Amino acid sequence: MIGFDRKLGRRIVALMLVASAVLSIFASTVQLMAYYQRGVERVRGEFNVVETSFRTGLQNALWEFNFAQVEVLADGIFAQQDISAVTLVATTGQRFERSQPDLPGSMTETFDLIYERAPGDIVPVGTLTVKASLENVYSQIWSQVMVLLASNFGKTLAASLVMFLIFERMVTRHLLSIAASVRSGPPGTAKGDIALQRRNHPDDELDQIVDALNISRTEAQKANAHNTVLRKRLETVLDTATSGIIALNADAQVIMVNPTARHLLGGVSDAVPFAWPESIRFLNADTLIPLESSADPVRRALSGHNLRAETHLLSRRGGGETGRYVRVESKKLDNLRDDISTVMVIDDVSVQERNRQVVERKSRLDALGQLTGGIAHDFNNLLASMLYAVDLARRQPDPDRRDALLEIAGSSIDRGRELTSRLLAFAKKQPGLAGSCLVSDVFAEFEKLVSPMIEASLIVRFENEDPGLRVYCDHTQLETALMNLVLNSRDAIFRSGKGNTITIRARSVAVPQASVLSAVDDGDPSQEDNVIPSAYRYTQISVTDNGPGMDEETRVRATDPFFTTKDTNSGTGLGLSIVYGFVRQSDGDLRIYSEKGVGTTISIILPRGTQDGIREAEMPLEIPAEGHGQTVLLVEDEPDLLSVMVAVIEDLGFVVVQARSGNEALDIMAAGQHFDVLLTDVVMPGKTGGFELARRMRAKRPDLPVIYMSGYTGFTAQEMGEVQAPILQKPSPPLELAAALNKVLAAGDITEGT
Amino acid sequence: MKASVVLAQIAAAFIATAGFAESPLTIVADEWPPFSGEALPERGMSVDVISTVLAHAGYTSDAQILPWARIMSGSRDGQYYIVGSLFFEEEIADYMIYSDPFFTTQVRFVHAAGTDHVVSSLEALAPYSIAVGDGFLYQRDFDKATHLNKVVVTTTAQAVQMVAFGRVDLTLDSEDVLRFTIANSPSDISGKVEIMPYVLASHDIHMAVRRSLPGAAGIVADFNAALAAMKSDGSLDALLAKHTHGG
Repeated sequence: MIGFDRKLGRRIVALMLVASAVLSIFASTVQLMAYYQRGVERVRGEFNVVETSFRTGLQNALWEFNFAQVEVLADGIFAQQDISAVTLVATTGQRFERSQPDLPGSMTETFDLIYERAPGDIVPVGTLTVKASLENVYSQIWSQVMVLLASNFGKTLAASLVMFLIFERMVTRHLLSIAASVRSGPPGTAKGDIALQRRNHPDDELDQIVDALNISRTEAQKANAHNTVLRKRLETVLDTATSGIIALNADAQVIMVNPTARHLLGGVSDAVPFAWPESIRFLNADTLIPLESSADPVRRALSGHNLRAETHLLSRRGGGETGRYVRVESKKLDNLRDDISTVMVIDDVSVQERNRQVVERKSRLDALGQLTGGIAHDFNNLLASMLYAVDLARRQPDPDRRDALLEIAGSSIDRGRELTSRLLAFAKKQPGLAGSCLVSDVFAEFEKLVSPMIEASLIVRFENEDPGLRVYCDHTQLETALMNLVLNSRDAIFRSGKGNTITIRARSVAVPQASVLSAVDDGDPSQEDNVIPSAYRYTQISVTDNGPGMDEETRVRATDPFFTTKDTNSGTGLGLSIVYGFVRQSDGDLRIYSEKGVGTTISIILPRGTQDGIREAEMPLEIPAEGHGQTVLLVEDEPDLLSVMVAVIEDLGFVVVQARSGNEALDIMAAGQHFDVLLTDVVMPGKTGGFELARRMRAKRPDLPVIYMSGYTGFTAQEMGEVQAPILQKPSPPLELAAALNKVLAAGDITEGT
Repeated sequence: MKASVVLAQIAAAFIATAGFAESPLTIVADEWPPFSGEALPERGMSVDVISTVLAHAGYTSDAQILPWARIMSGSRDGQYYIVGSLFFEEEIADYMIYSDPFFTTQVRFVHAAGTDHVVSSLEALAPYSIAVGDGFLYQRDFDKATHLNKVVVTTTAQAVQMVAFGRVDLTLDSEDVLRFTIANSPSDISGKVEIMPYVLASHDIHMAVRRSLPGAAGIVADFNAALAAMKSDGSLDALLAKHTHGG
């Protein structure tokens, strides 16, 4: 016979047989139950016959002592098919018995026999007990069992074998043919559609399977080709990327690496995955000391940190090379679809870093040169006073007068020595010595340093809102940075002939890092998910001048290295880029705000320090006081900033009416739109600036609360004009914004109330 | 109760005189203890007396115990020729020749012991229920009395037991039958019933021979002669005593 090695067919036949056996048993059981019921009914019928045909006769016979008749009737009862025993006991003591000892009586019926002598006069005459056996019923059932089972099962067995042959012919051989075709031609290789060997194609399930497989194979081929293209593209991109790109899994194994990264890792050629080469380590870019494991970029990246433009020295142990300066960035990946834990991007910045170091030194010398020019006059005066004093003393006979003159000379010498020591301190490079220091101390030192360098025609002001405010950074570099900023302002004022004041102002800012710093963390899930209302506090030190201001192009390029607006002989173009490098290394930020014709504010934002000399830990955020649906007329010409501020202010519980210029704001007021407070940028295109807008609105609504906002903080009361109002420094954290809005609104309420 | 006479029956095939002595006469009688019965000694008193008398008269005989109705119809249509244990009946005498009686019995009533039923005449029976055998002939007036409360049963044995257990007040039969029945009752009723003194009737018991049997009159004459001889020599009484007192 064909095909009995077919597992599917065998299983179907086996299952059919099992099912048939079960069903046969079930069907037979039902039939046998019916037989049994019928048998029991027959036995009951025999009891009924006793009741209907024998009882009266027996009663009368017993009554009449017609025992012959009784015997006949007993025989009659006993003669029935299933009756196994008859016992009749007359009340007069006679006993009549019939029984088949080998038949157990499984049903018993007892009849009380009576005689009704007269209506109502009933006399018991005996008791008839009839036992019936179900043996006949059982034997009939047994005789049926095997017949039923055998006939049912045999029929199905035959049908199953026929089914098996049909299944083999119609299904199994085709399935095997499909399997063989699929095995022989994997998708993506030989074309060749699967085809069934049969005369006609009835579009049945087999044809549908074949169609589906053929479509699937075609799709798979297309998808493979597409994947190949994509893979090659990705490989091309990775191979040509000048950055080293490394993907690490959670076990610190490199699972993807591009050629640039292999080169940076010392030419490692292992097939991925491989462990991070032990010989490759990161060194502090300044001290050239290997980083501790807690500061190791790979370790930190794997532990969930997103590294941002960190500069380290990448060194190969025992390589004999000096190593490469690299800038390392990393992105931690959550919600993984594969096992990539973090992606690191490593750029070789050796050339830039060395240039930067050269430039920094050059810049320092450059600043020193300027310093030297600035202080030559002072120093000459000191020398002159010393010369005069010594000369006079030499010729002075009066010892007291001589002592006094020498005292003056000594004092001048002390001042000169002090000045010299400051210059030396400035020139000396003290890298990486971050520490915590009072801003007031920094200002005091810097004032002594900068005063000799600034012409007397310029006013240099120091403002510090909090005497206890501390900053955490390398103070020498901070002084260098401030020196750069102040000298830039001074140069701009003198070059343009506009302005006379430089203000150095310190204040505390306590806002989430993402809001203070440039938006490098935007879209970082770890930041978005961070719901703990805590953040670092920062110290902002801004240098503001009322000089010529910058145009947009200058402002954008201000921090570019070697970009300068100065004469080629007077500047290197590296001042602001050095400042920018310093604040970013210090985990801070730099902001430039300038209005052409008004002035410039450059803010450096640095971590807060503590009395213990370390950086201040994250502090719980204050919850901004929310508004109560008051309407704010917000006037801002910068579209992006406007939309951000609308969202922030609405989030604080206020209603916002927005205008993109002073004139638009005035139109809104003229149209009768209600608002409770005016929040306006100061410098805007067109004739109506913030101060003018406030003046014209106050003319119509004298009690209108007003808040100005500007990135430039150097406005004087005179410039502010008629409407004196608080100025918020842009960008203003929500906390300050809410506080300012609530404050002026509360004051307005009081005014209105009184 | 049936009136019966002893009849000698001779089969038609044995009518020839030459064959008489050799062919036995078949006596038929019903189950009527103590007079006749399959289980009785010598098949009962009547069969014993008739066969003994016939033997004295020079005839051989055998006997069959048959149901009474079969005997009546069989003797009427010529199937049986000699019937034993018969009372005298005019109707039967039309086709059978009665022999002289060989025994006399009295019909009396039975009541339950300790009851105070009084029976002195037919009229006195009116308050009582009386068990009677189906088709039995007791006494002409009694048999025809329709006002009496008669309970019809099959056998005298039944009737006596019904009296003993109070299911009827009275029953009646030949005094000899009653005594035999009480003594041989399946339930012990000997102390429970009493035979009452009133005699309803007195019947002679005969043998009868069908008239169509050739030589019937001769057989009856021979029987009567032998019977008379046995009466006179006392052997009949001895034979009767064996059945009436021995049982």
